[in-house]
Amino acid sequence: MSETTLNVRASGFSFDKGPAAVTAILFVIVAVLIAQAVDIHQAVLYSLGGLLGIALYHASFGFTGGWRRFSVEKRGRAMRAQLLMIGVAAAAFIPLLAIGAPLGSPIVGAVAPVGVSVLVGAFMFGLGMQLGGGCGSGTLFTVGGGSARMLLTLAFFIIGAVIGTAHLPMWLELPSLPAMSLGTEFGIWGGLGVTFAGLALIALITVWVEKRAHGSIEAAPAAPRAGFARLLHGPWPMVGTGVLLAGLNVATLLTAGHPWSITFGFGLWGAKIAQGIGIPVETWEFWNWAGPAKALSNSVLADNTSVMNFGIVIGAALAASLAGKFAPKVKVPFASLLAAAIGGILMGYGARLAFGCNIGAFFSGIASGSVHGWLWFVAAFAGSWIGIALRPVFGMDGFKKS
Amino acid sequence: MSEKNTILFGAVFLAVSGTVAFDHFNHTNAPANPPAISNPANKPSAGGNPCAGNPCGSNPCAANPCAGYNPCAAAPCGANPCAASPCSANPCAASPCGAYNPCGAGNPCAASPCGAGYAPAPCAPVNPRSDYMNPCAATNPCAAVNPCGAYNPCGAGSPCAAN
Repeated sequence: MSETTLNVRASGFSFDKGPAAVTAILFVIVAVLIAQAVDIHQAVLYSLGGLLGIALYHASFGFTGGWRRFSVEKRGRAMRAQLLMIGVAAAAFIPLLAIGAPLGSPIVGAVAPVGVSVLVGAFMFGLGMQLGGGCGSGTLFTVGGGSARMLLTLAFFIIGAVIGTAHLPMWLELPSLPAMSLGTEFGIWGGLGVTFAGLALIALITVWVEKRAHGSIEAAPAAPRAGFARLLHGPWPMVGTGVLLAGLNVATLLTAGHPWSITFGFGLWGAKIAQGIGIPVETWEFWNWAGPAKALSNSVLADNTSVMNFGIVIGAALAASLAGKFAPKVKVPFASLLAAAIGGILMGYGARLAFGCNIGAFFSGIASGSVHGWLWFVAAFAGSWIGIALRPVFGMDGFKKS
Repeated sequence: MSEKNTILFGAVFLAVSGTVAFDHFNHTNAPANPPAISNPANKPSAGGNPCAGNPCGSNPCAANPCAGYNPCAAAPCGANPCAASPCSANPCAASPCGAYNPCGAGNPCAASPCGAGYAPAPCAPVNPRSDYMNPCAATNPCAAVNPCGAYNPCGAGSPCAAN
């Protein structure tokens, strides 16, 4: 045991004491600073982000790996956990959105038009996440976990998001159906019924594919530890974490007034950096629309998505320290770095075109009853398939293990 | 954690912290009533102009797509988004919301994006054209508790009304 490693004998695990203490203190300090600098509302959102980061890291709840595992190994356990998560969130979202202002303040769902921009953007995102090695949430929690490669993916994700804001108005000129919400179209029960039926159908397809390939459904692996030790150290169960993430998304909806989203913050960060180096993004059409203009002219700490993203990164760093896995890998081959950069650009650009990433469009979109979330899933899955096929070009595992 | 990674992540953390702090104070320390126009070419001519010194800088209409009357239209407020706003005559005439058009036919906003019958769907969070993200939210200048309520440069009695 190293000097910086604390052995918790009673629980049977060890963790990086130094990084854990630093990140825990940092997490609290940032919360206090946000409360002081802006208000308690933003600090609460930041804390929700922190919990999301811890949960994502401890369960390794990534969409990229889950989709790849299903595509390559025909194992659908992770995908079914994602579908369950969306279903649980939808059970709360659709009725709450129908109420309109359940706690007094108005809430809105992640409902967007169903058009060419979503189709193309989601395809690009799916492809990019296989090259980049993480989706919107995955990029954040792995950066928090100390991955240098994902830091590069994030940097290019931000660049791609800013470029996307420059081009989005042009993409929106292409054919599109209006925003459609299943809850509005079919009523609460109808919307829930259609959403659950769609999710169940996909889950059944994963079961069918898995049974056909392996003869049976994969059981969840036995946990190496239990109780408090597992809570702190992980790994957390995928299904339980999915339900927790759904609950945290509902809490986000009620607190922020809109569901959990990630990539708007990336575009905003990029636009502010671009402004700082003299690029007049404020003259771009996107940044003159009311919402983006307001976000651009305000402090980044006043942006809900940004403070939640900060929380996810620091929360994941805390979880990684507790798991004793902070920064497991340092050296990354150049080809892999190139894939990270290309993947990041594709994800950033694609998420902007598709009105969100795997969180804002897929998770929050379908849970809100938005039809665009379903189109996003189909297009992103197709893109993911192509991305997996391209991974060997960059020296990574594809459909055949290298 | 390797020494290399400690340095890398430490540097990133410091850079991000510094940038966020700079951005925050750069915005929160801005004067309450910033100059109307940052471009001197657009500076208002003195006197006669009821907009001078007020509405165009921190103008609540600046982001208000619902301003039925743009006080700054032919005035010195070239930088004011209301000036070129397709909403200046009618917020629903040629909505800047394009594909999302909350003012479109069949839309609950058709009568008025600020009307009581408004349904939030077209103003979803993912809608980058909404007022972060809801043009009908309380923060929207069109809402009941909007900045135009207290000081509506577009309303009767406003110094701009006679412009």
